[in-house]
Amino acid sequence: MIKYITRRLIQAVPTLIGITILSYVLMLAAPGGPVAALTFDPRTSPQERQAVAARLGVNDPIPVQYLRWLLGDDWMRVDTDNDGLADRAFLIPLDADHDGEPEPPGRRKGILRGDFGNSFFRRRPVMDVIVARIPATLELGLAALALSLVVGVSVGVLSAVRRGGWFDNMSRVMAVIFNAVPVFWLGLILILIFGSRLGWLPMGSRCAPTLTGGCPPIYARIEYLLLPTFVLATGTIASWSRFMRASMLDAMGQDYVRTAHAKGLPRHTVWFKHAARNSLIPLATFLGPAITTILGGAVITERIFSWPGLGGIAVSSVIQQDYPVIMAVVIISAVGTIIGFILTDILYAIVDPRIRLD
Amino acid sequence: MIDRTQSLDTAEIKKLAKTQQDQRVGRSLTQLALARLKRDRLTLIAIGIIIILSLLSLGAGLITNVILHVDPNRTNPNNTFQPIGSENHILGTDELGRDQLARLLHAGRVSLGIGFSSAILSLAIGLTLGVITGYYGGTVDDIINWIITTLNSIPALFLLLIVAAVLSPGPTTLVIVLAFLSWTGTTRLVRGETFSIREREYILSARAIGASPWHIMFNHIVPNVLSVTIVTLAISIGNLILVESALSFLGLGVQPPTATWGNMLTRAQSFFNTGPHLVFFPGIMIVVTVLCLYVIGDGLRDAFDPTLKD
Repeated sequence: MIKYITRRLIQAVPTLIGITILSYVLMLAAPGGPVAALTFDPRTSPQERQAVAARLGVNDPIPVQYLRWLLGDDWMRVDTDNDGLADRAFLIPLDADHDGEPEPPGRRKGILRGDFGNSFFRRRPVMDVIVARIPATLELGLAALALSLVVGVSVGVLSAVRRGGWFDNMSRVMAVIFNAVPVFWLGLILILIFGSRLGWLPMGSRCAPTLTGGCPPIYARIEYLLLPTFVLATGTIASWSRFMRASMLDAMGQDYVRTAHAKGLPRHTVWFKHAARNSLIPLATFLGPAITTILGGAVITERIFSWPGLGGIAVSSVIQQDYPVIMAVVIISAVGTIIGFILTDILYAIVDPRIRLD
Repeated sequence: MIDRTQSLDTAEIKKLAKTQQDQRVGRSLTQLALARLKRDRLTLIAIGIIIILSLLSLGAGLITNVILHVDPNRTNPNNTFQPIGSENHILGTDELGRDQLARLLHAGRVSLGIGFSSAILSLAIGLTLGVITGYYGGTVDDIINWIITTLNSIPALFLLLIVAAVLSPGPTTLVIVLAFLSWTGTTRLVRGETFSIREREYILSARAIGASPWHIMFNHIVPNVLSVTIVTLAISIGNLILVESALSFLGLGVQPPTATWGNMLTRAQSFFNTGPHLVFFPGIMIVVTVLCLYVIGDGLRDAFDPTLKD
């Protein structure tokens, strides 16, 4: 098992490198970029601007800049005698701005060590901004995952048991419609009906505004969670109910189910104890893709419901052209997805003893 | 010896064969599929709706000028938030006094156009890369697989957000971007098919008589994998229309005043009290279009599935 997990983790490394290269290339192509943003002050003279650019390392070759972004520059320019000036340099020049004096030692740690730089817009380390937002996204994502699991599995099992009946046909139609309705429009219509017209549920946000800015524990604000969870879960409910139905039909055709019927067990026992439990196994493979779907859906759902999570901040950073934050959100969500896929494989191996990993 | 059965037409076979059983003429896979499709009423209705929507969108300029006498982009501050059925404006007007029906028709042109062209471009990219990786295997396969895994592990909408931030795309750029981010599924499908076709005898014989790899790939393999991918086209158009509308809704896709079904809803949240009809119609257009495309996709898959017999 440990051998398998190690192998999967090693396999994830090239993917991770690919993601960082892709993000970095896109950031290079961005108009303006970090130097323009930091030297935008009109009082900056062209010479000063060049010096700032040199100190930021913009004139270094692009692979070196990528390495600096990835691994930081505290090992590229080191201060060994503690006089505030670097005296040993690796890959980059000691005196970048050509003023005859060496530069101060590098302080950036690089994204691999969690240093995504400072947010242009918020003037705070990106990591602080992101970490503050993660709980809200986790809360919404896990709630949607749980809802889609419960509804999707029950609907799938019931429509397999009553195959061809009205419930089965209804659930098939519903699944297609759930997939075809744009998430943002569903959200808008539900807010319009339940929030604006009927006034039963709040129109958005995570909780009623408080003086301290925090939120009460989750059971005290369930009504805020209902609509966004449902909207975020629709797509996954549709695909899981379809998948569960197919898997359940497959299990119901197996020999052990016929045996159970033959020895006279009640139908419900056979369906729900024998067939349903085994048909849950392939569902484990759907967990990874579901995480991607939910993270992607969170962008829109959080925007509509003013939910203070990662998706919401991704959209506002794009509008504010706050590149460090966008990069961080993309890389963190990609890492989350990769971990989700690895967990899915491990889970699959645990629930199905027929699968041998080594 | 000449194969006589090939040159006989139906009437001659009927004359020659005595029983009805013997009179049956062999039908090609496409003929069988079309026959099945003709009986599938739901798919036919969906095809009809899509054709009507496409014609309405294509004729949007003509319809709004000649029949409705309105301009989709002309604002009128004295005539905002008119309800459904008001004078000259069948579906009312929006927050700037623009006619909603005219905007819906023009938006359809953009949304359907982007969906169709990006799906076809993505199919072309996916098919080409899939055949090449499937045929050559080895290092090429490894590199393309690495790109696919990388692209698939970033939630698509996040990737689109960065690209939107960097390029601030118009309709044409958006088509290219959507196509370049959505080819991975087709490539995987085609790659698998190509792996199995590569080992068939007719490919071996083509290679034996000295056909170039290019010739084998595009004259022998592509026609055989085409049917598998064409069937997924309808569903992929539907998905791309959904993605485009989401992006435009967020204000990062096609920019106003050009209307798309997505960006007509961007400010919908502020119309809840003044004009709920502005929230309803653009969404319904998206739902109907995507639903029809999904139904067509399912219908085509069933019709072209050679394992299903009548």
